[in-house]
Amino acid sequence: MGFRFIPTLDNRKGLRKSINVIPTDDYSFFRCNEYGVFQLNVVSGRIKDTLWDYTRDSLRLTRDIKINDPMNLYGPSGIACKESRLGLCIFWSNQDTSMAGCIMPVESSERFDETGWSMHFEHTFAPGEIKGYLDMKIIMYLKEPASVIAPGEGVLNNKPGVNLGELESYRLEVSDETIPFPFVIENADTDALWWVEFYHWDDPADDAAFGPSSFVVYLNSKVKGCPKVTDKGIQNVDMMYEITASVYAMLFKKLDSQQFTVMRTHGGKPGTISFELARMYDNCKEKFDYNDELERIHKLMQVTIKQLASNTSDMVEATNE
Amino acid sequence: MNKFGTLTMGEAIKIVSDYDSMSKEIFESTVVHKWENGEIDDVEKLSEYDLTFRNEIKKVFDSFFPETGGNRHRMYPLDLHIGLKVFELLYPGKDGFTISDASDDDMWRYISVKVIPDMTYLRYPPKSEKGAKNINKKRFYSETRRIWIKTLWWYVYLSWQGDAESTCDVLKSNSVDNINKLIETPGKGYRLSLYRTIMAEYATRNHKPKYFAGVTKLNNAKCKTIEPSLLIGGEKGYAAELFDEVPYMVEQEDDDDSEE
Repeated sequence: MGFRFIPTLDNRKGLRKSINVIPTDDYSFFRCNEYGVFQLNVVSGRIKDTLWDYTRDSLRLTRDIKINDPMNLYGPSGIACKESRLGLCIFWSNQDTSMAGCIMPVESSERFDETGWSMHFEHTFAPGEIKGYLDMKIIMYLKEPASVIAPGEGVLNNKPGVNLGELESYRLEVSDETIPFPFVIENADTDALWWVEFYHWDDPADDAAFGPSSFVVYLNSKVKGCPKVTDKGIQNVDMMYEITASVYAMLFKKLDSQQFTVMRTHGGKPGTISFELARMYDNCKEKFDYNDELERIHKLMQVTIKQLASNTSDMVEATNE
Repeated sequence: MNKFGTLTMGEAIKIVSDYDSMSKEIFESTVVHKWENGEIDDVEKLSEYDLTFRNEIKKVFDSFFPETGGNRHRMYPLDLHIGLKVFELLYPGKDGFTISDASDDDMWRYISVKVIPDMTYLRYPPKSEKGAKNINKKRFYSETRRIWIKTLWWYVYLSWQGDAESTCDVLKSNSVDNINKLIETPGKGYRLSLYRTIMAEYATRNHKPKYFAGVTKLNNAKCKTIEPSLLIGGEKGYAAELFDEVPYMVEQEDDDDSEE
């Protein structure tokens, strides 16, 4: 049994470049409440509107898409048979609520003529339906299969519903859900100063939030030298840096080679383990590979964390026991 | 809007560590004894909202728990009916309750540890062979997809068939393992109408936990390249095909790790 990869927009890069798509600036966002509908000012995926309250306001989005030269998509050098029909949808996902869905174009908005292929999307999220980051991807899929497959089209997908590639992606910060490093103070009857518990995750770039749902670092306040937050700052801060560096090193080593590559190249969804590791990796002056030894990564983490901490004015070292 | 209080992980650990610091004998003769009699500490500190919620859940708990005999293999009817009641009380849109609230672990920890610790404990006593002391931490507060009361809300939400009776009808023949398998594998996110369709389809099929686990895994794998709502048969056709594709093996044992 052999494998074959069906042609998609993702693996036919030249094709993707040949079709002209309206830029992503064409997303429009509105907040809706009992007082009316108000367009939001969004800059680089951030809502610059002090009146926006995701718990009280609905979020409406609209998007117009136009593709010039859509006929390039069909036929042996395209991604769909000539007799078939492609469709577009917006796939959205929201990590903080673990919800996802598909937005279809407004019925009767689709136009396919000599000027190109266009359609209009509209969707409203209820108050509190989403929070944190809203990820949206415009996906091309096979809407209607071909009844006749022409010569040369045998390699193309003819199964409806199959994702044939991503046109673009967009990320909107709906609310600030910054997750602090998951330290927890314990008062345990053990000589261990600190330990970490890792929980199960499938994909560190997707479903593994950087926080207590994925791992927790316990600090035992009964042991001398345990980091503590006081009104003068953090006590035993060097130990805290050391612990943080150790945990980061462990997290890097938990990635398999593919996950490591994803971390280095794409980062991952905001708020995920991979995303935060990518941020840490970007801050390392010396880079490392998947195969590098734990001890080397650990040392690099110590150096990087101390450098980052020295750039942060709100971390004041009080005393070391 | 969350009308309950909130409890961070650190705050929950502090409270539970007080329980864990007791010897098993003292813990059982004092705390557990009170919990078995339906009494909890600091009840005067609970709000009216907390108390109303607690009393409603307690009615259902008292109705179904005795039938279990404390046997962990007979807990599903309790879980199902508690889940339906929690969902009724915290229905999306009711009193401003939202999905964002339902995703807030701090809120669920507060409910577990402060409002219904007795019921959480009786439902999930610690398993000593797993090294737990006096409290089953995962079910009380520590694992986001294992906090008991939270998992029940999400189980019902993801399975909802439009009303409580229809939902109960669809879910009545399931087991505790279905709850875990449904909740613990969100993939890129729960596709709400798809999950509800899958649960309705499962109600028409043979009920074996490993079969259901296979279906949820296959669904997550397929959703990487297929959008079920875009198929010609829609989500209903997709769900039926999904179950047809997973080999149904007659000889299976129930998966017991759901009780951890």
